[in-house]
Amino acid sequence: MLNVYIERQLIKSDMEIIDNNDVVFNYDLYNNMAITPTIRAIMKKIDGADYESGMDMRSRFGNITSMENLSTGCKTMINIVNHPEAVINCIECGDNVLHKIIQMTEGNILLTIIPSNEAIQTNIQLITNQGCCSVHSLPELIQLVV
Amino acid sequence: MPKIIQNNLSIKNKIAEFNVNVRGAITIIGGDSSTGKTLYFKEKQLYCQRHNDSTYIFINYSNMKDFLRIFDENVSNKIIFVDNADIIVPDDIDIYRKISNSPNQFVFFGRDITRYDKNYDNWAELQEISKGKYQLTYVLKKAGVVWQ
Repeated sequence: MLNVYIERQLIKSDMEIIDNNDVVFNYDLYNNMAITPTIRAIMKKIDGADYESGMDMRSRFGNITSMENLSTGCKTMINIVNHPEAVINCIECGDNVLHKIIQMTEGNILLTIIPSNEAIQTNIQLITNQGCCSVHSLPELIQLVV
Repeated sequence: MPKIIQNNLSIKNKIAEFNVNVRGAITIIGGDSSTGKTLYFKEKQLYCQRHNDSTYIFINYSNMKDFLRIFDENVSNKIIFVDNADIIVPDDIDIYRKISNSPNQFVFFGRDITRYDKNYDNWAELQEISKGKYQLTYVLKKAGVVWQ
């Protein structure tokens, strides 16, 4: 289940909150991040990029460049996969990425911007002031938090 | 208060072309991920570095503290690009006031529009009109709702 926090103060003090997704991703990249099939799929889905070798990718423009040049939204989604114990701040993600993130089935996110409404199924545990509840769709999530 | 230093902030190179004409002293570029925002920021930064153009100041996650220095050091008459703005620009009324009183032009790349400007007329997106060719387009709809 994806754990979704909508307020920072609801996150336990012993949990790391990752706000600067570019820095964390770039650090991992320089420290032998494993480029798994999951990460390659995220790169392709979000940025249209294909992994090449080392820290390089082929961008959707066709040029070979560093994976540091992936979009922040793409890096955020990869951080959710690579840091399952931390809470990943998704504030910098566009709606296109948020729609994919909320369909993830593992991880923890801080979601303070509501994405546009679409008929998307979810497997979310929403953590609010009133406690936790399971949320099975984006329309249901929007109804609960707005 | 903020002022327009330049309307035409376009850039073009072998990788991509960005046609960016702004209409206000504060521009917020948001929208979907992977729409070329950071690429535009980096291309513009590289061009200015190469041509020693000191009209611009570029701030992103690698030099976050420089943002507040703009106000501490009374920087003026600059075009200030802020990538990762949602995590760099503090979410408080004092910062909004400082931006509103600052004699510079701002381009924020972010989603939380109310941090930078109360005027939704300054909200824009980069749209890819053909492969590698982007245009700044002002959006009419309200930006994403922040409920916290």
